[in-house]
Amino acid sequence: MTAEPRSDRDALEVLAEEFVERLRGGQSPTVAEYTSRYPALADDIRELFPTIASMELLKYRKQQTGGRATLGGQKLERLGDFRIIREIGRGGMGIVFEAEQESLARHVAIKVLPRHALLAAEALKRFHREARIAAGLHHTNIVSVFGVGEHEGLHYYVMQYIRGVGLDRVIERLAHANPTAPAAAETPAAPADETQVRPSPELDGILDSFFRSASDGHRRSTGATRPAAEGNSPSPQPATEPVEVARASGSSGHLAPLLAGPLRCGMSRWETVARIGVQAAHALHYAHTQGTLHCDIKPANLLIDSHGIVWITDFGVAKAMLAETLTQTGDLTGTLLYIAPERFQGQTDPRSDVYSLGLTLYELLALRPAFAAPHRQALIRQILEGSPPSPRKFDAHVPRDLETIVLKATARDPSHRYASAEALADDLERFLDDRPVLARRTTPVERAARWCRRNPVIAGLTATVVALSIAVTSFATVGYVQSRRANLLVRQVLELETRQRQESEATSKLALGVLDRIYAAAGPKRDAVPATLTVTGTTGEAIEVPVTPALSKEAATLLENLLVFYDRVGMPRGGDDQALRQAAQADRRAAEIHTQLGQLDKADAAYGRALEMYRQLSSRQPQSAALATERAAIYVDLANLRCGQAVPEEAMADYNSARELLEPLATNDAAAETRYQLARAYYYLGTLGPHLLGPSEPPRGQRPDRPHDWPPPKLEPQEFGPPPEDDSRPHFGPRGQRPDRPPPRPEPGEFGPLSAHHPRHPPGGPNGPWPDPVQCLSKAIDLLTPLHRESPAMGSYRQLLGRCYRDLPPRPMATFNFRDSIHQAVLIFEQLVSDFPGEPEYRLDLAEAYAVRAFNGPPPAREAFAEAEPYFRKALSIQETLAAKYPNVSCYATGLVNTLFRMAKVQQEVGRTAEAQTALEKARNLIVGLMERFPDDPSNRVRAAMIQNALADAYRAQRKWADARGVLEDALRQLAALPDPQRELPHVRELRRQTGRNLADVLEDSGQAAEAQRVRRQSAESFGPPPQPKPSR
Amino acid sequence: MTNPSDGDYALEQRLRAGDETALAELFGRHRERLWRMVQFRLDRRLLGRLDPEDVLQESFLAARGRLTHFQGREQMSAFVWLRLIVLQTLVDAHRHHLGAQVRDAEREQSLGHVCGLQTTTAALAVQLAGDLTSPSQAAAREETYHLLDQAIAAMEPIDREVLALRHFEELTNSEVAEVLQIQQKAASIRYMRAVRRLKEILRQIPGFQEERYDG
Repeated sequence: MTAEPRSDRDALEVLAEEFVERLRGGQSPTVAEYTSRYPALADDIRELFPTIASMELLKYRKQQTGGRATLGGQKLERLGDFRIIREIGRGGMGIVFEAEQESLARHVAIKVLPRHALLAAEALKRFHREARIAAGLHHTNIVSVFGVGEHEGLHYYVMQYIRGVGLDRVIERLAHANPTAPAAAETPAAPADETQVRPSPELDGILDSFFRSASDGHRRSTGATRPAAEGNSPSPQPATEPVEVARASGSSGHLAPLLAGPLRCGMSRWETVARIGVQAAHALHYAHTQGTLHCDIKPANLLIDSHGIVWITDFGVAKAMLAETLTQTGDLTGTLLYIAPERFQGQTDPRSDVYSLGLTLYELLALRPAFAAPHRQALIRQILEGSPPSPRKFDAHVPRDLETIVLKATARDPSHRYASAEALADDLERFLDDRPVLARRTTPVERAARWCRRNPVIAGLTATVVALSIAVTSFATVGYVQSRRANLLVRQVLELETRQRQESEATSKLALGVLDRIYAAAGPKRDAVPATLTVTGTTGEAIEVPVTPALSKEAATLLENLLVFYDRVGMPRGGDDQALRQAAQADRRAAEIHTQLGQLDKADAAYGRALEMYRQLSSRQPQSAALATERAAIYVDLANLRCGQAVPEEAMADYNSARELLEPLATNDAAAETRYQLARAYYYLGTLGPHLLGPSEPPRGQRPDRPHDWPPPKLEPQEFGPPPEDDSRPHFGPRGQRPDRPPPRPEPGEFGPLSAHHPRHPPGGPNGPWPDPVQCLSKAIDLLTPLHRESPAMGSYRQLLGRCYRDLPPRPMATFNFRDSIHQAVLIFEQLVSDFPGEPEYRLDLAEAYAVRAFNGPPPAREAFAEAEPYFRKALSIQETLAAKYPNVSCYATGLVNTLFRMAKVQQEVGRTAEAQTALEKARNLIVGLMERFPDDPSNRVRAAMIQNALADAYRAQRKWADARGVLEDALRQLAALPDPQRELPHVRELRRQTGRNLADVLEDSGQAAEAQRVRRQSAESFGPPPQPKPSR
Repeated sequence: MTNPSDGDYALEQRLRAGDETALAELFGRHRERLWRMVQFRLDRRLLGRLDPEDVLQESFLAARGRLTHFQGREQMSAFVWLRLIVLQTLVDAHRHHLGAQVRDAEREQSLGHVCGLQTTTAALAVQLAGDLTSPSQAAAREETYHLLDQAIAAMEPIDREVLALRHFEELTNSEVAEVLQIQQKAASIRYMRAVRRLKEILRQIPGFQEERYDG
């Protein structure tokens, strides 16, 4: 170890140093080991070593993309005989230049290695040796190495100059074109080592052939037009002639040259991928027979040139550098992604190259890397133990045989792979030739056996932790596939936890932390508030629909599994404060999950338990502001739940409890979190509360003249105080879902920018009248604004502030102006999105802010709508991206539906009925999709019915009676088909009545008076007479 | 790895004799830790713009130019000297990129911490807040980060610095002692105290879970 005199140092510290050394060395030292070795220090060890371990592990966070080679700012003009023309690209291993070799007047590519790369003499020798070997390879598909050199300390090697593009770029481009693939920018970029120029038209043509869907079934090559000598066509440069082209024709017969030939326009994507594989595999096999392994096959090292020829580059060089790269930081992950697992044990053979090529082909098919992990350790474990999902899961069109080949090539056990690159090439050729491939799928039995063998006896919890972390990272973005895997892992953790019960606190703490992350990934919103949507029908009545965010079945299962665990942890093991607190947090989580699963009563109970525990905690530590804050936060959550359950008095009580706890504490210099939680209480008071009137009460005040109730009419100034009774209904959906509002005073022709908007008082309970939303939101804003200044890094503070601004009701106030406030909201969210680009919640907030701004903006004269429209478009584009990226999280899709809906309303207002119709049809299709995905969620059907109603309006405006009738009848059927409790809910009944009425109107307009009468009678029978319009004030 | 071995002594001798290749070897040997330091202390605002590799390259050139400076310094070990140069290069880079926006650091000059960089507090808090990357967790991470930041700021500066040096720069106890200019024994005791303090802090943060625990 070190030469330091140990006697001078604290004994524990010396042990800690050893512990850390071993951790850094990749071992897994256990605390128990140390406590048994040094019983005298056991208490301290148990106390402190976990913290130390935490710090070490947390260190390996995702490296930012960096680690690219540099020359330290040095500008290169010449390297001996070579005149540097320009830089082509840089990657982790070096910088590539285009140069002219003056003595031969030819263009070459030169790769210059960074100075540090070969500092050790050993590496240099290796580098030279490998370069020599690589120079001896002559193959159509291998970039030739011409020589190596050294110039003023910089080492370089010279190779054939290829006009082409790396497969990594191709994949990136494909991924961008394919909406279901994750944006290529998200994947940790394997540092590109490209010799590339702007793709030529031919190259573009080849790339375009990728875009063709494989469903055209076009697997046969258009061989007739291709000359047989294709495979040997030289590159455009005057390069060395391929001296020896070893290509085993095997059983492919006379078709071999064609099959191994370059790509051509007109091929299907699968064929293209297979052909790339064939070319590369043949080249690899040739190299293997010459005794050289590549060791760094990856998309970036495979180039396609404008003739469709695949080139493998960087042969041999990687091997020389390998020892260095495995210990360096930063640029590691890119190379690691494609390394065969056995190489970590030091065994490399030709099958390792086969594996890497297989993974490259995988990525071409799936358009995403096979493995993804936030940091090196996790990635290594994934490579060693995990297996990537099969490509067909990402794209059902991938031909089965092709997938089988790829899976065999990438088998973790080398003996399960193709024994040689040639065997891989042969099977690919069989696929291209429409012949049965030799690779076969494992039977379920085999698969189970493999699973058992590879499923490691979990040595300590580390592996599970890591695996779970991986699952978490990829869960939310990849969707249901990963959730199944995550489910598996969750169950593993549960089993483990059961086995290790006696470890009690620490185990559950650990697992809790990890599961928390899974939960956070699975549950879309941090505040699991039952949402509502309000819409006004043609006659100006408003209908409110409470909806719970729908979950896919897989996500629901996952949450249920988590619930089991949280329930267990929720029973405090010890009496000590920490355990109690932990249990309370677990109960809180459980409550959130229950809410998301629609189990509101159980959520209620869980919150109750949590609160009880906090009550105990608070009685023991009455001074603790932190505890009070946490407790208040739970009260707010519970209050939100009560809003969802439509019990306003109780909600009010809980909000007030939160306020009671926090108001005395929330001085200007109180902890930020305390003030934030109070602001949160105000926010929800001001938004959820007021619309808690229950949709059963019919709205008062109709607007007989106007088919839609945009815009709100002229307002009158209101004092800032308890508002007078008013017949308008407040409509505040959480998260700013802004519905139509029937204004209190219709004045045709008068358009005021703001509407008078007052909350209705709920039946005054023991807690008094509901506070005015504007007051609440203003208080929240007052609390949050200084927080915004103090802690700009806290996204959630800013988010809440933005939401306050966004959800302020439009009302003329002396203190603020609606336009300003929504403008503020947009600014805040735009800033949030730019500061936290990886956070979809903020984008959703921004989208809604846009929509609100557009929806409540100035009156919809044509010009004004032109101003509002871009905001709608912006909102839509954000939401479309989110909905596509997170198919599991239904609120994104519903957000999109809502925006479309709002936009359609406004479009109808300005008479752009056709566009409104398009938007509504799109919304309807989305809803139908949601209904299929989440068939158990009735709210989608209700939403669909509302959209149908709006669509009917659009049709009516265009006199498309038949269409209008069709959608309305459809809506009626849908609603009638709802299961019983839902169907008779007040708001659903209202919707049905209204739909019926709309249908009757349509029938009348289209001249079928008798039908219309019949429908009206039916409607009256089922639902009672329509509400009478009240005389307006 | 990070262990100084006997070879280091020979290297230092060569360095004092002005041997440049010794510098290269030294650099190579400590490269990873120096990279970590740059990574750790790099201001978040520069994340996209400044590559630690570049900083290291420049530092190397700077070190070459100041070899004579090292020769004069008998007391300083080669690594600590090198580290200082890298640190100064990093500061220059910050000034260059951030110009007038360079933050005022806490008064940590006496601890060898150079003014102008991201404070150790912030750096530690960022690290400890974890690498939660799932979408909804980003917001939670910010909160945790903030709470951590506040709590760590309440620690004694020297305790903070010790943690940063030991864990995120991976310095040995004697190197820490040298950087902080205290006795080795003191450094040793400081470190354990700092860990204890940190543990207390982390306990108070709701929602913070220790990453790993061994049975």
